[in-house]
Amino acid sequence: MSEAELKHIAEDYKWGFADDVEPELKLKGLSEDVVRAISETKGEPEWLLEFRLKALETYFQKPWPTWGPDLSELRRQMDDFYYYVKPPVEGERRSWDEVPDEIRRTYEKLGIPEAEQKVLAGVGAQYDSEMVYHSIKEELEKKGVIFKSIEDGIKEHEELFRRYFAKVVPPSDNKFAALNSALFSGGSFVYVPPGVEVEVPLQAYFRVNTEGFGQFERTLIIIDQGAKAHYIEGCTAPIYTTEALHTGVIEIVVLEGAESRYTTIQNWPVNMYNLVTQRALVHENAYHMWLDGNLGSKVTMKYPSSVLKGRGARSEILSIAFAGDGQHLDTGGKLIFAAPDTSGSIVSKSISKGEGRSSYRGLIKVPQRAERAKVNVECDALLINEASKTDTYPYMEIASESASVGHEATVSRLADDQIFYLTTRGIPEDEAAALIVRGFIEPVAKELPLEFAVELNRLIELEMEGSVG
Amino acid sequence: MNETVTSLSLEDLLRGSERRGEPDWLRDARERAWQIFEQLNWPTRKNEAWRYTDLDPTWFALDLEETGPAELRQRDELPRAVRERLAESDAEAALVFANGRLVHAALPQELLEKGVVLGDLHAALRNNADQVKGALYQAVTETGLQGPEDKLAALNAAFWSYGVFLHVPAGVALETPVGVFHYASEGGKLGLSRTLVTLGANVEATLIEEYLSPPLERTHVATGEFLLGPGARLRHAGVQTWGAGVRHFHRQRALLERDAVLNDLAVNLGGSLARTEVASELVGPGADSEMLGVYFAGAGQHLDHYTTQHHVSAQARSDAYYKGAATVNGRVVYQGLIQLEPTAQKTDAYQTNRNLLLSREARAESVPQLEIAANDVRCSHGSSTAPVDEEQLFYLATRGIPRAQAQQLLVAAFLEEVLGRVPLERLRRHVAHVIEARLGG
Repeated sequence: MSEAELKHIAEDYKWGFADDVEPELKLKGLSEDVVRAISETKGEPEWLLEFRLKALETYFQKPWPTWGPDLSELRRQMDDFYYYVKPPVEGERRSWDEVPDEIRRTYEKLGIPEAEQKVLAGVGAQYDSEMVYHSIKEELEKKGVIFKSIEDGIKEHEELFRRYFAKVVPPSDNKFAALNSALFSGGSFVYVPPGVEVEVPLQAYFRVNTEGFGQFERTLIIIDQGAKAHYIEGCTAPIYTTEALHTGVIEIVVLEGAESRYTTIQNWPVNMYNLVTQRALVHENAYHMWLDGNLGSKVTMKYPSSVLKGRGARSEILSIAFAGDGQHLDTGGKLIFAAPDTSGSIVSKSISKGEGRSSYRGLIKVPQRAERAKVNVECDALLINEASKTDTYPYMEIASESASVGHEATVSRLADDQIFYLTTRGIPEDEAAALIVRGFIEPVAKELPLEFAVELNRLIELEMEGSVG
Repeated sequence: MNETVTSLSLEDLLRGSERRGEPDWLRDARERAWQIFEQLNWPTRKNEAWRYTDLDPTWFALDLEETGPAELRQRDELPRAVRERLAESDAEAALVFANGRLVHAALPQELLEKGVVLGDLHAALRNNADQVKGALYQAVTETGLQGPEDKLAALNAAFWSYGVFLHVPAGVALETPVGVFHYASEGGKLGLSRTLVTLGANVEATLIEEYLSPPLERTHVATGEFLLGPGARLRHAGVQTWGAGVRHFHRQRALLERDAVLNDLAVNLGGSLARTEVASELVGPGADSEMLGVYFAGAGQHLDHYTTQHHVSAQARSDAYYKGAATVNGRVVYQGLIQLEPTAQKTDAYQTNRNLLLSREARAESVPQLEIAANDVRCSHGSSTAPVDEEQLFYLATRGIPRAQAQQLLVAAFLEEVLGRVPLERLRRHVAHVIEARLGG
């Protein structure tokens, strides 16, 4: 990336500042030694080290994807990343006062402690490779809700952890799931006991500070029978001239009759490769919603999936992507119907601006046993400028005679006549464009928690400045 | 190269080309295609475009069907199946090929006088050398349609043994359809045919190609190249009703210049496996490509379709509408791509696929895709797969129509939505009859 490009990007990206924090440990390159060192630093049990090493082997064995965005540049850099960067914080803190000033100030700028006070049930904050803060409201803890870093989850709840870990997303799922399985560090472990309803969201915030760094958080969420929870993740990083990598794996188990929601607001700078695997296993009469907002990154490959495992299970996937210059966002969703009377829907809204490219990639799989399964997919793409690009790649595989599967997609451009109409009403052109874009994503955006909706609106306004006319 | 097709060699290719007295440029093109064929791997399910169809290289390791000089016969000496179809067809001009050899040719005097050429492609290489030279391998090259290099296209380009040439000079309108019948009765053969159509400016023509045979073990790879000059209108129907056991591979691409109009219909009803790829490239503004498809897969059948709408020019239009049903353990596949280049502003492009599953073991796969690099466009696609509507079945039951019959009616009505767009009454009736017979059996 050139300096001029960088400067241009930095002007639009509010979170691009870097902290002067000296890490305690930095591990460079992709090797068995690095994997062993990560495991040793964390004082992990032997089975986990073996799991990591096997996953690394799987990573090396699996070919690079031959479809989707161009990863050739990333491929060349794989040996140059820092795969583990330990911030100078011993263990995670339960009070912001205990977090080192430099790091705390970053989260204050991001508004995390304030939001925690007002609207969240708990917050986890990851800085490079480690969780530096994790806290949950006392009354929830008393009800048995667990909200910890993945490391503490392993240490303190090994049996529960092992029952579900890597069962939803095995390392062999895809090349990057294997990479994460070998290198994972940080992320959350969440357990909500039967019948407990966590009414306000739990939030994890991922921050990258080190240049040339790969972040590999791993999250495991178990919502027990009849329980309810909403988990939100957000992410930002400084802007550097070199590329960075974020490869998360999120596993969610929604047990019988439970309800869960997972919201991502991804706002990485445009030098980030964001390659994430997210999957939920939805049991009988349970419900899961993925709300996936992808605004940042250079390349994103991310297809939240739900496996509807029990009779009557339901899932919705709502997706927003906003791709500007230099961005290729390849996002979408997968619904696997593995039981009778299951149902689901995917609604995807993508916006491409400048030379940005957004792609929808989806899979609907309805095997024979999924009797009476019902699914509907709707993808709409909005193109702002002449050079903007969009793709739609929906795969539908249906082997159930009684299933009903529908897919519709439209591509349209920011309409001159609509903008003209609004300008005749005295609305400046930029604002008119932002208004139309907001209207376009409204069906998905209305599901966002308020603060996120506000942030998204601000971002769209910023993005639409000078984009038309 | 992962497997060799033993019956084919470069020596055979060169010898065959010499025996047929082919010009140097064609021999060279065949040789180039052979080299591409040799280099490429057989497609596997790892190729996105072949994700739902297994291909077995031994299907192509059959005896190459050799062509020979025409053995023209009268209509009443033709195989019965062909005679019946000819009798039911509106086509006045017609060619019949049996096992790769031209056995019947009818070309009304009045068309000859207008300068229309219809005949065996080998004959055209001698009699209309320049026209063929400038056109052959233009729409479908040695590497196939646009997109990844295609071993089957290379196979056909290297070894095609018989073909059709239809040329209609500028300004001529054909009032009745041209019929081409590909008939086979010999098993164990690999048949490779090539159809080349060149239409001058403002031509109007209809070409119906039918593929028919008794049940037999055989592989056929057909290629169609359609070059439509400015304002030319071509209606083409490819009706595949091979007998059980035949494997059919079809590649077709049309190049549409300014204001040219293609109305294509692909019908896949026969054979045990069919893979039909139909592509249009919209080269000039005002061009319009309609691609219709109808398919019905019964016991042991696997019918796979791939459509490509490639918009290079601005202000063109295209529409793909494929509908089909699967019963018993039949399997249907539809993949389609609308591709808009940055130059394709003010495009209208649509794509629809609808499938009906009629039994527990039936399967459908549908992948309608868009790749859009221009913004001032109207573009949409839709896909649905569903059972026959229970409410409609119930309604018909209340009218005393038994369930099986009601289902037949509803399937026919479902496919009629596509067929109804084709103003070839007798062809439509024929297709409807074949589907009806299949539904009944």
